[in-house]
Amino acid sequence: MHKYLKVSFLILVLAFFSSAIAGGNTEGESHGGDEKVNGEVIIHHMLDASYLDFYPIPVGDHGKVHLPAFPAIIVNGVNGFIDFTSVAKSVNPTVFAQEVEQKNGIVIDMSITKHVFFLFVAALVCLLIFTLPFKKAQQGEIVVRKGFSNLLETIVVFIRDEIVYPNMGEVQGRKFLPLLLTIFFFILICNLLGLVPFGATATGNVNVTAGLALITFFATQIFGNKDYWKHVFATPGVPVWLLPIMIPVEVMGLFTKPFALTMRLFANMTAGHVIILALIGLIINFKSYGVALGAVPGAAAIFGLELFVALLQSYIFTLLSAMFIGAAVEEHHHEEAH
Amino acid sequence: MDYSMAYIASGFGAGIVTLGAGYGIGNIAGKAMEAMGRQPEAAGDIRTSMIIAAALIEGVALFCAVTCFLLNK
Repeated sequence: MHKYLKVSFLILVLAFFSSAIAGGNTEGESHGGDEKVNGEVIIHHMLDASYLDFYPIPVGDHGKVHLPAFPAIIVNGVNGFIDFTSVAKSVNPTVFAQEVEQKNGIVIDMSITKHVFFLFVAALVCLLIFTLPFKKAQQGEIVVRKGFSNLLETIVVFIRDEIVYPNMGEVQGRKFLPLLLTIFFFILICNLLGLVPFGATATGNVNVTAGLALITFFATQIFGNKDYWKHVFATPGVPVWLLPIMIPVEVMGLFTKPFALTMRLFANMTAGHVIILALIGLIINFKSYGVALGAVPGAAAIFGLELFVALLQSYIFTLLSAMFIGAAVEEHHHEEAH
Repeated sequence: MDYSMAYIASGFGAGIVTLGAGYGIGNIAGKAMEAMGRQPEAAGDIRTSMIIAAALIEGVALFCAVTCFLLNK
């Protein structure tokens, strides 16, 4: 019992410092005493950037460590010629913008940004935490798992028995279990990396969540069986004269599902950070240490809530993905009521 | 062109969306608690259905929130 108390105290202290550092970052961006933390500053903090921000620590260029930036590829829409810009976007934005306008085409910028960097980190963490215990188990060293790998096993078994099998059935569930587990752990680690000091939430970028939702979308369409398409284009039990209304609604439903997945994860991961920054920003806006007495505990409480939301949103994403794919692949029995 | 009314509309819109979604999800949660109280052995199933229903309502609310967001541009 004593051990757990110590751990929870440590987490609380970490939460305190993390929210204070989040505030420190904002202060660093506002340059000078008269500026205030407004919506613009907060949104700027949430956006993607070409550098990692370590503001109070003097590394790189005033706490900014620049990531590798590449010139963008421009594909001409008319004749398909491929061209390059002469500079990367983050190196010289004005020249970059001129060249993009001049060369006129589809811009493909493969520069590594803050969010891309944290996606790589999340992927690496995902790989490490699963391959290392797996290798140990393969060598026959472990019979009963202990510590961290035991925690992982509990989560994996929970997802299998509470999310995947009840929604997809054992046969189909076994097939899609690796995909859904990967989605769960990848989203969870991305969410949690945003709560680490100097980290960034890759899932707080709408492009990332849209990509994740597209995986679910394509899995649903590709593995969907005959019955699934029948439900879209000729819903059983619906009178024929209603079909002209039903088909557009059903087809729209195909696209609203991934859209809702995208927006849910994006909005939830963004909202918490905005609240923390707004609370810490109060201290700077009122120019008084007294406000910190209220703002920092408030921010720490929101930080705790964010930990919960990070878990909940990855759970919901996995659950809904399992439901959507499950509904598309399951064998229907048409004698039963719908 | 004057966009001030769009800002007001987005603010009001977000507020009304919150009211609707809060009422809906609150209703679901309340009913689910009642159901769990009556039948504690079915708590797991009820919780899953509750989260799914809440997520669907949240989806609609987020659509509206995005609309408000776009008005703010």
